[in-house]
Amino acid sequence: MSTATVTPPKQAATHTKAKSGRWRPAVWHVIVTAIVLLLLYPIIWLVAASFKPADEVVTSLSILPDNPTLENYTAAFDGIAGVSFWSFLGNSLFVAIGSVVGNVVSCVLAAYAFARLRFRMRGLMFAFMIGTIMLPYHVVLIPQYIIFQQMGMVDSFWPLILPKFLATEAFFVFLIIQFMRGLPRELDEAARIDGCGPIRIFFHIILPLVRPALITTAIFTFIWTWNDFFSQLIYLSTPSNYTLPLALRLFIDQTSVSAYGPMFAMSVLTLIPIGLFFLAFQRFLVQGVSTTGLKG
Amino acid sequence: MGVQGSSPWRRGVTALSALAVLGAVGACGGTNDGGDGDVTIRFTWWGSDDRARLTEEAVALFQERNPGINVVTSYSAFDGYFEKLATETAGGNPPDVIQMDYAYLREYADRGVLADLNQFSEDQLGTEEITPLLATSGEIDGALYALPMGQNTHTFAYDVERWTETGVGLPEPGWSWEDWFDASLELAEATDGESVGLTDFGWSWETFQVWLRQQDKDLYTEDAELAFERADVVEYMELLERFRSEGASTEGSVTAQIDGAVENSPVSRGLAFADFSWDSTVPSFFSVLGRPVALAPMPRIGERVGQFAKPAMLVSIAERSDHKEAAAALVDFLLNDEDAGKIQGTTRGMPVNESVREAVGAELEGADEVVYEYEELLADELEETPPPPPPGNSTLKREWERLNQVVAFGQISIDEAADQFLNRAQQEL
Amino acid sequence: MVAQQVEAVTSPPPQESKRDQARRKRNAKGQTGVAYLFLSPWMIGALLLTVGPMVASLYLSFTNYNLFTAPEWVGLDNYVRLFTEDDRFLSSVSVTLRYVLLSAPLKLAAALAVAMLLNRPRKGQGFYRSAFYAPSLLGASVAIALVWRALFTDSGTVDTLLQKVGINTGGWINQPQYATIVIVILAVWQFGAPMVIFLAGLKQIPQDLYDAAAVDGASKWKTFTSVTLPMLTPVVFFNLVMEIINSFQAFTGAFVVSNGQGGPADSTLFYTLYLYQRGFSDFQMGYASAMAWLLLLVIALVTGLLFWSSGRWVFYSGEDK
Repeated sequence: MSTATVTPPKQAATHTKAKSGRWRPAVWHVIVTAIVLLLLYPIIWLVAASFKPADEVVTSLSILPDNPTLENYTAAFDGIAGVSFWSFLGNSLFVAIGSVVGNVVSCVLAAYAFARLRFRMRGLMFAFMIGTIMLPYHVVLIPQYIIFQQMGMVDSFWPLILPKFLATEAFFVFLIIQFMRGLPRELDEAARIDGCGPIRIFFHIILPLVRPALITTAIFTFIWTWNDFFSQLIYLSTPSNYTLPLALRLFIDQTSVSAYGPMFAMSVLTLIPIGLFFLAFQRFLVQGVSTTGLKG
Repeated sequence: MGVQGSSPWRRGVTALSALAVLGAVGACGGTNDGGDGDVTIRFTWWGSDDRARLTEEAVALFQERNPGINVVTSYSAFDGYFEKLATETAGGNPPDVIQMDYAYLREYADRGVLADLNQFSEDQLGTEEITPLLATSGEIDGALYALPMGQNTHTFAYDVERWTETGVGLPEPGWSWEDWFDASLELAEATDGESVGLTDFGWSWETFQVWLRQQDKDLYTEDAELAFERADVVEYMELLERFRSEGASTEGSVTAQIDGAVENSPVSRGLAFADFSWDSTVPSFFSVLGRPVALAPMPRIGERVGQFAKPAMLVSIAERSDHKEAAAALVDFLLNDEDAGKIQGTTRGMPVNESVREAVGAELEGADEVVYEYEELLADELEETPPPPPPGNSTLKREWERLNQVVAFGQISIDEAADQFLNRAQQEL
Repeated sequence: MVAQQVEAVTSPPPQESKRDQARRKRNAKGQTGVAYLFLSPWMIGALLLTVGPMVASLYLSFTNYNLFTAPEWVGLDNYVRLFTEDDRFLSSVSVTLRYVLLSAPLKLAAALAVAMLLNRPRKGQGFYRSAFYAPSLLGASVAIALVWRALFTDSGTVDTLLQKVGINTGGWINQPQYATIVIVILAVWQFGAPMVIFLAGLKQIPQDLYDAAAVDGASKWKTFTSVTLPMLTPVVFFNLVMEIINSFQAFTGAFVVSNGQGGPADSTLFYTLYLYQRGFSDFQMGYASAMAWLLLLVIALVTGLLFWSSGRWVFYSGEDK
């Protein structure tokens, strides 16, 4: 990634400059829209399928439904075996929001220590933390289940949320560390000269500056928890505790009659909250350091 | 650890032990007795939303009739069900009443997870009315580890309307493999090769079993060893290869999309006229195709049909259950009670209790009626369920599917495939 | 002026002086307490939930463990069997390596390109950002599995389009030579996560560096290579490490194509998928644990190399200046 190896294409640069002006944004919009349409095609397919009646869902090749129907949505809102759609939604929201709070709080604390403080066994602990991501989840599942079983937390939301409050997702710790390491050290030094301790530096200087990383953490945690099937399947047993991903699977069981239509409908409904969450928070992503008035 | 470091460290340890204590207290909750002498049992099954609804209804009736027993239900789709069950069991927290699959029964029973149901009296858990074909399907070495919840059997389900349109004669019971081969070619010709007669049935381990049984062999001996030889594998794979290469069955790239769901089967996609299937999945064909399918017995070699009554699913009680008698009462109710039978219908296959089956059978219509009549047609010929397959069966089944795919794609020869299979069998059994 | 900054950006950090080292030592002592305070949630989590299960799985890798009865010590047996008796293991290794080499670079390149595209102040940015992220909202849900099948099956959308231009592939997900490509496309399609991380990283680059570059009349490309890229290296490094770890552990994609069976003909039998089958379908958790630890060693080696090399190309403006 050395800069020396690349010679700047000067001619091209001046060439574009000459041609630029009012056409550039238009060209930009056309290109981006084209890419977006291509990328969204599968999602459009999914949404269209959710309006297809049962005999069209699987067999019809055309993307638009011949006889659009809302019956799939009615079935999805009916819930499953007496447990309503809103119950699944509420449970999913609870788990997702709990996880977001837990991850943001605990990961930023750990990241600050790793990125900015010097302490004993730092290298060892960091290596261990990264190591925890490398082991496939499936072989630690049973020991972890036993721990939660011993603590009497099985069939509650605790096994899904508590780990987030204990910074067990090294991905986010590492992510925030990388952002903190990119912040100029002079800020800390200046604050230290002013008599600030590490705790005050954290709250007054570092925390506001890593906001993009925290927003990123919040967005990813929300979406990933929302879609997580396996651990919710393992730890939740009572149907009234079920979340949306568990309910979704119940529409397609290979040993009985599947209901693809309602499954597509519920998938679309499931997408809406995470779509809104992303829409609401993505704008904070762009209010990075460059717009918060920091001068290096 | 520095002096300064000790204080937050100690705080951490304190928090940790607090959590542990909390956990110890919490662990006393779970599925133990409630305060008023009631018992709580957990019942878990796999299935779709429809089965969930019907089962919940039956369970509600059970609780109404047994006020002292509280049933906590839990259900999921088949994908993931056994991973969860394995995790719970390994964690010492198995459900009391477990819907069990024939293929997994031995894995659990041989390792002491399941209770011997012979310990219950006929009053507690009735088995007398269970159809004799299936009555011992959960028996291993004299102990009864499971009872069937529903019956199904092998079939070739075919798209009867499309088949009739071609003018080719419809299949009859007693058709040989050769008859099917000929009809299949005619069907392919009649549609200009757009759809072939048969789905390549090489993906199915169970079809191979029927073929073996037609020659008085089987998959496994009683000592959990292979009950067939390399020559059988080669002969069977050559049969499949002939179907494929002559255009009587689907080619590898079509067969590869079969994933067990009826929606993705070649018949549903209009690429074949007949699929090997379990008769219990026939209602799915009805709903996916939007028109009826008809059922034919498996093709034969000689007289013997080789098919057997298979438990579509079974039910077991955990050895670790604290309330085995309450669990037995629930099982008894689900299998033998006529009202429970009527509520559940055929959601788990044909009812196994003979009088329940008659009562339910009288009310069936549509796809369920087709299945019921098919089973009645075969009733005299169907054989008893062979003993549950040994541990290692699931690996071999998967290996069988894989090797047939690889052969269908022409990646290895039949001889190599046979060698690889026997090799794997030697490791696993 | 920009030249100076570029130099500061790309040259390796100067050696620490003796005095700095001494100061660091003092700091280390003084900060250990407060550091452990910040780390306490993580430490509790590690002790309570992580260390134990990891050690347990390491132990199990030396045993024969069927999940329900007590594990039985077999020494290195599982590891030996992996290499001597198991063809499917070896084929899963090659499937996975091919996937890592294809998907990680492609996904990162797509993510960085789109992030650059979206980093300009233009109208409708929020909408575009969300649209590009939308595929990643879906994860590997059952719905997306069905959509993907409809697109890439024979006579599916892609097949039909290709036939119109005279290419007849006969479907992608159903043929061993194409099935992995479908999973790579799925992975690249969901580039939203690294894209968001790149975007956040881009926003963290101080504007005055760009101003300085503009004053110096640097071309766009020059600005990209000498300001943007170097300042972005911590994030590039993070994404690279994470994508490599993720693709080594690729798992869900196989559920999309083959319902978790690894087919057609084992062409999507990823390492962790095989591990999962061994552990949960075949009840050989000892064997699965051995596979897991072998994978950990390989990933650790690759990641270790990346960390080691990072000193040469990753620039932290907050460190050792």
